[in-house]
Amino acid sequence: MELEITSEKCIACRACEFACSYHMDGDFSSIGSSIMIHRDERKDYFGPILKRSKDILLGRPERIEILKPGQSTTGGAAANKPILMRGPCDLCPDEKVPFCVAICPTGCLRKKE
Amino acid sequence: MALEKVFNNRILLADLTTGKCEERELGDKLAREQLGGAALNLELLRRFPEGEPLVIGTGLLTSTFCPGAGVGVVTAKSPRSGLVVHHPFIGMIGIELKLSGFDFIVVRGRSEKPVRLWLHDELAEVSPAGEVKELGTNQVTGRIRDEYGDMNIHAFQVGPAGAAGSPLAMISESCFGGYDRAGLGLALAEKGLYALVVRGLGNLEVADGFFPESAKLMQETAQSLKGKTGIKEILRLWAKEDSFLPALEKVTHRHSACYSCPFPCRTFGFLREDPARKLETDASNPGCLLIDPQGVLALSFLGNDYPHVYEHCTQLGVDPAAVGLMLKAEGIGDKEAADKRIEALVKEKKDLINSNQNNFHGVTPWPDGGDLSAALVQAAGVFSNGIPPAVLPLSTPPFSLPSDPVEKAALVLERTALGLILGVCPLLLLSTPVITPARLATLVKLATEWDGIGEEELKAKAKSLIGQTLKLAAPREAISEGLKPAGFDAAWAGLKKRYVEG
Repeated sequence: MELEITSEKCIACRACEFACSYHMDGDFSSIGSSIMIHRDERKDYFGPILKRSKDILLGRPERIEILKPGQSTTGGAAANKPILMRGPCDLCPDEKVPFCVAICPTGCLRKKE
Repeated sequence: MALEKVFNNRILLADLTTGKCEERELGDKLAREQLGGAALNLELLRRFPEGEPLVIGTGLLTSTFCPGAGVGVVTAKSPRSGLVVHHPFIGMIGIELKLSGFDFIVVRGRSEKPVRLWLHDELAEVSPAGEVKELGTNQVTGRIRDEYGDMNIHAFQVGPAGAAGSPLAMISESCFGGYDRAGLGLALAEKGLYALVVRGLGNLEVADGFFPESAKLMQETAQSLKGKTGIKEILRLWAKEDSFLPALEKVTHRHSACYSCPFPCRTFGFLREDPARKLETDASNPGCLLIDPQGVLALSFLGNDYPHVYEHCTQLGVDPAAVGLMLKAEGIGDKEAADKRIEALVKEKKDLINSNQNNFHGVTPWPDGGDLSAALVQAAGVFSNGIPPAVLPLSTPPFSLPSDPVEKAALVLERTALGLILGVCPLLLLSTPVITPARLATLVKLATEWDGIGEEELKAKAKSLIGQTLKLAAPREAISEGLKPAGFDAAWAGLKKRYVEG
């Protein structure tokens, strides 16, 4: 199973961040999550960014970009360096669906078997 | 401790005269009695009356998983009406404020020099405002974010309009305006507080069972508003004709939502970039996020250029609804003339009260189309008039509306009140009936584990908030005759009976 992201459906509500952090740390916050919303509000450029065990999946509005360790990128991801220090997504193994998928209101995040 | 699950147990007393900040415990008793948000703000105004206080607070469910739970509230006396008003801030500031470690902020006194208040990591710092008073709100937000290297920092600002002492100054939420119709930007500026900057990296506990109940409600809410996207959904409900909408569609880039909200009612207009562009733009300032339906409607008579003029208002931090009314009355019909006039208006310190425009105690009315119940909601003036004074027929299933105008107004007022107590977006609560008081009570019960908390208590608290606020400052009858539909006086008496005399 993996997490499928359709960036164009993202509305930047950040519910996924908090849901993930709840799974990771059991509280309301955004700091422990494996998923974040990268957003430059002034440019209206946003989408999810997901830390996985071997790479980072950057949901750009125009395409999905997969970043390997040490690989750099420009733009959207630059504001989200903190994700490098976070734990990777474990797909919420004890749940029917990952928490971020359960809370996402638009179908931007989906479970893919 | 139940309180740790919804609040940080911390009130900040910021004395701007001395520049000192003190903390007080919120305490279980006060939180249990007032629940939070606007109701607790009002109580803090009573408890700390010195120094013409202005209270900024978070709701009981702010920053939880409840749909729309990103809201905070400013409660203060409006410089425009003289009435105490509750003004919601809706984007992301509410969650950042609560997770900065402060639940409520009582701002007292006045600083001789412009200052900003920076809240983060349970710390509060008062420092010189710097460039805040000279730049547009978008530029200021950008500079602050660049200064700290964090795109999730948010800022209330008074903007250049507040710095100039304009009664039309609004509280701007970070880059692109807000919903303030009460001139609270001037209230902050008069205290010398030009910006409140917040970043929340803290955490709150979550009770078992809260997440699945919230996720269920989120999906039901999303389903009820399926296919509804952008500010146009609200605009077309109020406009007599929608010939102005193509100008908005022409510049529409993407729609986005506030924290934990399934309804993306905010629309970004690319005004200096191709709206079809998906790649990240190189332009540092390609356009404007349109969030304020009343403000957009008020300017829509300007033809294709109204999104630009709306942007100009947001950058100056001036109330676009009031500006639109004044421009129209002065016969101004194009962007160039409008831009010049807006710059001058800010410096003239001109207010609606002196302009002989139809108004509800100095506050801009919603455009034609409001019925008697909408007039009653606006006449009450309890909440910022940037929030629609009617239920928005957007959802499936629709609201079941009472035929009696007083009951209809009460439905709107009480849903808004509930939202501002709990920290749930009033626009969302007015858009779908799926989020009922009973569902909210279930979440509150799960979150707090308070004995006896339930739907009836929430409803009673909402009603009490409206009554207490109405009693605070009279008269609220300062309403233009032209805004009183047939039957207004009798219905107004009925509304007062329900909340003030009841």
